[in-house]
Amino acid sequence: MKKKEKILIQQKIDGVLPPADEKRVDEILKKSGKARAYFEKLARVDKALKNDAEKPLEVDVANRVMKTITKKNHQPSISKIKPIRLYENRFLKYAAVLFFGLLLGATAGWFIFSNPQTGNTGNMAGTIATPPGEHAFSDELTSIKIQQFNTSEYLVALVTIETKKELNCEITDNLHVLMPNDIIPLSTNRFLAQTTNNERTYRYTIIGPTVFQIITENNNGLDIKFIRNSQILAHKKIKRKETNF
Amino acid sequence: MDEDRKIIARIINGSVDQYRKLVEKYQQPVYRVILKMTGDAENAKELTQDVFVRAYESLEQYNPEYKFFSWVYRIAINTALAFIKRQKRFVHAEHLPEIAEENFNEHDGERMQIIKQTLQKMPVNYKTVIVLKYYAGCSYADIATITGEEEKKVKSRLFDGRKLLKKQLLEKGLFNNF
Repeated sequence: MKKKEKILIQQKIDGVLPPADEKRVDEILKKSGKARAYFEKLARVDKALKNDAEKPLEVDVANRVMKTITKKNHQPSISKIKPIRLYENRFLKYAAVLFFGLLLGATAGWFIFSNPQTGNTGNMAGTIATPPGEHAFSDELTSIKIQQFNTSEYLVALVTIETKKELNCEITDNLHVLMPNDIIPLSTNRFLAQTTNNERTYRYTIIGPTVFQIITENNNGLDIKFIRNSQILAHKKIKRKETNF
Repeated sequence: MDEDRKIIARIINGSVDQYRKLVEKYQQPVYRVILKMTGDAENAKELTQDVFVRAYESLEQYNPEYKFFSWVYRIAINTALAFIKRQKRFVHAEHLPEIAEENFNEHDGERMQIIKQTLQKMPVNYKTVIVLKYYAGCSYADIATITGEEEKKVKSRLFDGRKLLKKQLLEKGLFNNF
């Protein structure tokens, strides 16, 4: 049998045989036993499939479909957002996790460094972050730390200085409360000199490791400046209970 | 078909409830197509539901020049093929479970069972046209619209598909019992 004849037989079974070919197919089936066998087998397959297709099936998804689309209809934007698709690719998922991780880290870093828990050190170059009540300055020649303690009556500050080059320290008391004895050297390496003592400012020249304590009833605060070669390295204002830089 | 288009126009204009009519009208043939494509009765129901939800969501993309059922069948076939692809990741085609259709019973007989099993194991390109022809009642032209192929190609594929089906059924001795 030729393929064309087989196709015609199939078209007859499918009921789409052009009228012009009806007679021709009938002739083929009448004359050829092979064609008749082909027709019969194909007709059986066709019938079997049709019988199978006619079998009723129980399915009712209408309620579930309507429930789903009604729900989505109230939130039309949700159906447009397809978050899962973004992560269909495993590498995209990892990239997304990495991206959000970096973003979170950068945000946390920005927050921490822009809001140090210690006092803002103002214009002090070389200022480093310290715990509350503690202030510090550091450069390649000098390290300064001021630890502040408060009582109900006194402002107490412990100043620790390590300097390889001569440094001047000026402590100004605008209320005239601070007395020379209120500045107490604690280290064996005392001040080199108390060069000036006007009514409001105590000036000391320092070199090497030096520790001194300030204790005062001054509630208005003290200005402490550290100066080298006429340049202010650090400037602090300490005040009882709170600091203001 | 004009009725379908009127319903769709009403849905797009806000009468969402009208969609129920289309679902009720086509859920049986869509389910049948998916069932025959996948051979999995329980998942076929879920997939049928997905097809209608997906069709609704993209209803504005529907081209009224074509029959609504052609469009839905296309979604159904794509959904079924995607499901088959997913399943094949886990089960090799040679080891696919025997068809477990919920409505199968002894009255269907051995012949029906053999047809179902044979159909299930056919290549998807043949299976698709046979399922659309017999289980969705589509014409050659409809199948061409659904599959996006030329009608001539559909005829050829249907021819080859039935030939393969006939051969496999003969090998299983189906026609000895006719």
